[in-house]
Amino acid sequence: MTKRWIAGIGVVGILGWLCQYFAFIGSPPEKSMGNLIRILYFHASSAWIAFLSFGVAAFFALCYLIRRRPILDQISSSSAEIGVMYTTVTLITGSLWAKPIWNAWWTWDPRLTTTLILWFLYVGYLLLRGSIEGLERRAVVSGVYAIIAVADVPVIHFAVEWWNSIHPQVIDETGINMPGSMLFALMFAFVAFFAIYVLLLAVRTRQEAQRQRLYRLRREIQEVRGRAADKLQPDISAHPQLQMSVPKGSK
Amino acid sequence: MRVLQQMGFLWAVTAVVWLATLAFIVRLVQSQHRLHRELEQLERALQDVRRSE
Repeated sequence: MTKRWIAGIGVVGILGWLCQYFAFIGSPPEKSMGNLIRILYFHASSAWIAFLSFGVAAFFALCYLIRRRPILDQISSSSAEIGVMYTTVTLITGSLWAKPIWNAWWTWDPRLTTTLILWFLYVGYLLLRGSIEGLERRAVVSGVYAIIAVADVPVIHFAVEWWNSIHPQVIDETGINMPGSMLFALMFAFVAFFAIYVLLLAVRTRQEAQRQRLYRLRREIQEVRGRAADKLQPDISAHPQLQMSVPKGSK
Repeated sequence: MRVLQQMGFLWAVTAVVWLATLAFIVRLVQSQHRLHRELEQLERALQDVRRSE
């Protein structure tokens, strides 16, 4: 492991600890929600990072469709995978907040439902990607899918305005609805999560490049073995006695 | 009692966030080891096949 990676992990670790400090100690409890407001710093940050991941996945998928460079597809698929992880975290942390506040683990609120749809869309993306043979075909099909699926992200944002929703709105047309100390904790959590996202994306993209190299190596071995088998096979047309005779009337 | 219950939910959220991140990293490291091993094996196999060609 190079010094750069160790430094990256160190910075992310420190940011993680500071995020924990500001969320638990550095920010005050809220008037009506009490300490449960602290869940928001993790929940909202993971949701924003999930949306960012899918935005990055769609952007790089579009770049791949234009430029056809493998690295663009590698970044796109890696970002989508991290996005699925953060969407899962968002759904679980949201549920843990909803239980004491709404007295229910889950309601079919527009924002919750559209977020669940987003999760299913990108789990579908990962399954689709795993089921397609051929690197280029896989990149093109999953790229088009990523561009279409990202349309759910603005729907999630506007779901609160378009339909009757009980989900609290941190950001609306009037701006950010929270005092400075809470806003600082929220923004710090977002920065920490963003740093983790960048590190995970770098590692996962490198791995995806290796995976594609592995795929190409496998194909190369198959081709070389195929050529070797062709050389060993006798020319049947030169030996009529080796040709199979087909009985009359059979198809 | 209410504060204790709230702290319970808060710790559960914290655990979910960091354990999910940790699980993702562990999965990455495991698949990295597997990939590295498979790449080495395939490169050796390709060299053998080319030599015998």
